[in-house]
Amino acid sequence: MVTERSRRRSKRIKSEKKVVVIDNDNEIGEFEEIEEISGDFDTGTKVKSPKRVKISQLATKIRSISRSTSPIDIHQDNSLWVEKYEPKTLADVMIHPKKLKDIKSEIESMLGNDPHRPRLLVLSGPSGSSKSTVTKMLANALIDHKTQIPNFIEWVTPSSTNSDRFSDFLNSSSYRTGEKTALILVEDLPNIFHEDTRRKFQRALLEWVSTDYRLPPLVICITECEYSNDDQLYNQGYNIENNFTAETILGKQLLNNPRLTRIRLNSINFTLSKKCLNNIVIKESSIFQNIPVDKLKPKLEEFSRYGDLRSSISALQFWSRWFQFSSSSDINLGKESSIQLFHAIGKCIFGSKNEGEQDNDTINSVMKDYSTRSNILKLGLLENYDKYNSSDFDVKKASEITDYLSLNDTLKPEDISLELSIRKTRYTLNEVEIKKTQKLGLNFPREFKSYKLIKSIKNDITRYIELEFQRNSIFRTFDDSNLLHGFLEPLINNNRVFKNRSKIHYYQSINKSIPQDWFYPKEPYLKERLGGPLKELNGDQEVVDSNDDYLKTSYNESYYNDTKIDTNTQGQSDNEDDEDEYDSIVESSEEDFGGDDTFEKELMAVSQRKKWGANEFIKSQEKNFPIKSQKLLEIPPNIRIPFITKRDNSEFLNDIDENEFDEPDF
Amino acid sequence: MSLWVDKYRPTNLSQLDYHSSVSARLSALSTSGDFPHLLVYGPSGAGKKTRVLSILNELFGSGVNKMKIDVRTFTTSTNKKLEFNIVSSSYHLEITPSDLGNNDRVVIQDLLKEIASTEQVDFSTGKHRFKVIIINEADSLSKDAQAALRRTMEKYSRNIRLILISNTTSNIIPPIKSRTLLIRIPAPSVNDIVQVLNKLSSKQEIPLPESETERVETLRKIAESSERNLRRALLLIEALSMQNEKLTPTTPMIQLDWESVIKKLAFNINRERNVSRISQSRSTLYELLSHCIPARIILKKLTFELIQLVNFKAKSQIIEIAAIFDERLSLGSKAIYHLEGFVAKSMVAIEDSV
Repeated sequence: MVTERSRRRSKRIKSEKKVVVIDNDNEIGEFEEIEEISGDFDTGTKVKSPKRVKISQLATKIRSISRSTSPIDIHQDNSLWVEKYEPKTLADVMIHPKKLKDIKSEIESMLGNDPHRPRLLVLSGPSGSSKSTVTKMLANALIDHKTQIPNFIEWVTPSSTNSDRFSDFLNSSSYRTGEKTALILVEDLPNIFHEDTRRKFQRALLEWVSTDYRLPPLVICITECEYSNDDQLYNQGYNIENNFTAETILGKQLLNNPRLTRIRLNSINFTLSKKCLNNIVIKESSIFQNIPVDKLKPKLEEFSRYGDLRSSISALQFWSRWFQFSSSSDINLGKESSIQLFHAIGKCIFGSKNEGEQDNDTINSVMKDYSTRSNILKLGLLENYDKYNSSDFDVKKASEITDYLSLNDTLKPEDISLELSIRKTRYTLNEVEIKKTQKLGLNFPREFKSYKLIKSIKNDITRYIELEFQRNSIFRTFDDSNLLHGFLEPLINNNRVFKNRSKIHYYQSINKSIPQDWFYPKEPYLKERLGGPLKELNGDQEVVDSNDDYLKTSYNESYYNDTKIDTNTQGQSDNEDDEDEYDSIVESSEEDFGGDDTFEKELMAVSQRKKWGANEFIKSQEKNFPIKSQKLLEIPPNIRIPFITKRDNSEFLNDIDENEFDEPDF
Repeated sequence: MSLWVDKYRPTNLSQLDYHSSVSARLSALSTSGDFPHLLVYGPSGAGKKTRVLSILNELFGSGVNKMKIDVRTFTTSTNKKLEFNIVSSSYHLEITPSDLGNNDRVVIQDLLKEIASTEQVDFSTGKHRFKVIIINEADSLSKDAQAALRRTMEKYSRNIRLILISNTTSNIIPPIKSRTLLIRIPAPSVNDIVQVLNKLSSKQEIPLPESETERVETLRKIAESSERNLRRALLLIEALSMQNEKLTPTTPMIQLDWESVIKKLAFNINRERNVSRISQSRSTLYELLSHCIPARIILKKLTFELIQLVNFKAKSQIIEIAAIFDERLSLGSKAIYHLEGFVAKSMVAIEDSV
């Protein structure tokens, strides 16, 4: 067994290059964002390995080789291995070859002349996934070295609080084109936790992508992480306060821009990490020769599972140091890998894909990570339990699950309620016989989107109440305003205006004086349903950033913006809706229970509208249906053009699987 | 010129159309010199607020109609700034606790203290030395705030009188009930509403049929579809007469948008009982919730729509399920669980009864 292993290992050493890793720390706000760099150390080394050797012997052998060729004296070296073993060429960066190809072709096209070339590349991924290393290496590889100018410029957040600095930086770097091209790397971000700074940051980038003249390639590296805040904030949804991701930092408008390309990097998988660690073991043989293989091997495997190369290497280094003083190997180092939200939901609903893993273990592993954030996971369960077996299971089972989820919403403490919910969901779904191949398309809980809508609609209504009071000295209650006036008042107003208009027209033609109250309601009046028409609130397959308030439209804008009335309200920004969230379900006020075909018709109608531009549609509607038809709410006041979602989370799930099913190694 | 419902709102107790015995009692109360704390309750659209404002008119004269709105900011203990509106005249003050959220206790206490400490100096116009504080939607006051109120009510009774307006008394704690005079304003009967509408048609041009019987029939239909809510009836008749050239008993009624959404939802639940229908229902439920339609109203409406569609055996079961989930709505924190639970359970109940 041992000899077999060592043979395989020696082959590996022959064929693979050495890896060096360095470390550089970047501080973003309160977080330590650490990037990992791996690459080639000494390439010239060739190892002629005997076919059958014990690992310890092998290590000694390599040590002597390393010594002779390495420029660094590794003996009494106190430097950190993550710094010491930094990659020197592109080929040595620990990254999936396919991803590397993707990024390379992106940057190449950014350097090209195609008018549709991307202007901005966003690399996102967990810490230690080689984002910035890859970028720097690619900058070296793709950009000419002729000039003295460095081939990448990096943004460094100044200590001053001036929020305009970032756009100044971009402006000054925009001249780096032509022969002296440099790649602009933004790794350190401005203080995006400050809302104004974030806005300015996003705006500067938007200007950048919409510029048509030649610009140097811009690459942003974002280390994504979820972090739990106190529960109350978490309730408020998915935003910069609890999720540090491309969605929350850049915003939807920017991410959906066709000139932006986003590439997601995954955490380094087991094989690659292990390869890297093995190389270090070989290079640091002076230390590792004293450690028995049976102690080293499980540790190497444990460290390789971290998914964060920097963390793995540091753990290895400190473990080895520690081992020299005490021969016992029981020490806990490094981080535990955490489960991301979609992954956790997937595990609870579909069960684990890992062979032999019992439901019980799966649930325990999820509970470990989510016991303090039960809300989001429970909502995720409710949002997605029906996806099991493509919704093909008994409605009784569904009712059992929802009944339980409902009951658990009333239970305290949170972690027990969560555990009960997860167990019930998993075990009930386990009883369902799976017939079809399952489609994995999980939705992000809509609760947060809904929460945001509630906030904006509430705002609309309270402003309506205020304005009504200022105009007519009438104070309405909230529910009356929303349930009755919100719908009936626009109806009355629009019809009255239409009726009066024809009367006025008639009176003018016979030269009669027009009664004053025919001019009522005076502009501006409530024309559209308070808070917008009722539509269907659809789930997103992506995480939704609840701070993302770009691209909103408001209903009754003219009504609220009446300049004659001095309003005490704050800004406009709060009482607006999201643009792309739903399709109309209230198509006409006349009830038509024709069943599914009507629904299809509605969908058809909606989809046809989508092909048109919003303005064209409104114009054509004005031609075809004069004001009268508005009374039936047939025309949505403005047509929403949905965004094309760039990717859905099924890919996301695949990515995770990629990491899970690693070839057994060693 | 404004909406009919506002234009023809009575401002005096003598102008009120129905519940004449209540009106008589209130007018006796307002002329008796002293005035107790009041708790006025009844369903929405019954005329609670109209009566309260009429009492104020009786007490202080027309000066109460000169109202202004202030935005007050309040800094909570956690340094959060809270903004809320106060409608006030020189004789009274009106607040809505749902604006205040969790901090209603502190806000109400501070506000009442502030008002109570400044005595009315101007005796020339008002007959009374106290200020009236109207608390709208008093049933949404937290228990905390209610408990604080009970002390304040006694302590400052020299300078302030409270009028609480609420839909039910079940959320009001007994000590408050015992310190106030309870006045119930029941919903107007269909006949009451027909009368009011008839009176309206004499003041306002409404395209009603000529013959007396048809005319009453039309008004009755409107009154019935308004679910004994006078505000709704008045808005409905205005919308209808704006929309139609002629109103007849056969004129189709206008359905509220959210109600027709719920109706459609009930129809679909009854017709198709499977898991993918539950998923679709969830979208509808979320939309209704997002539009600030109270979960309890959704549940109630959905239940009533469902029991009209199903057979006898399922009827009783659905009522029972609705009762369970209604309780959970008040115990739990996220309405969607309970509404979806209700939908799923009703589907099973319907399935079993077929």
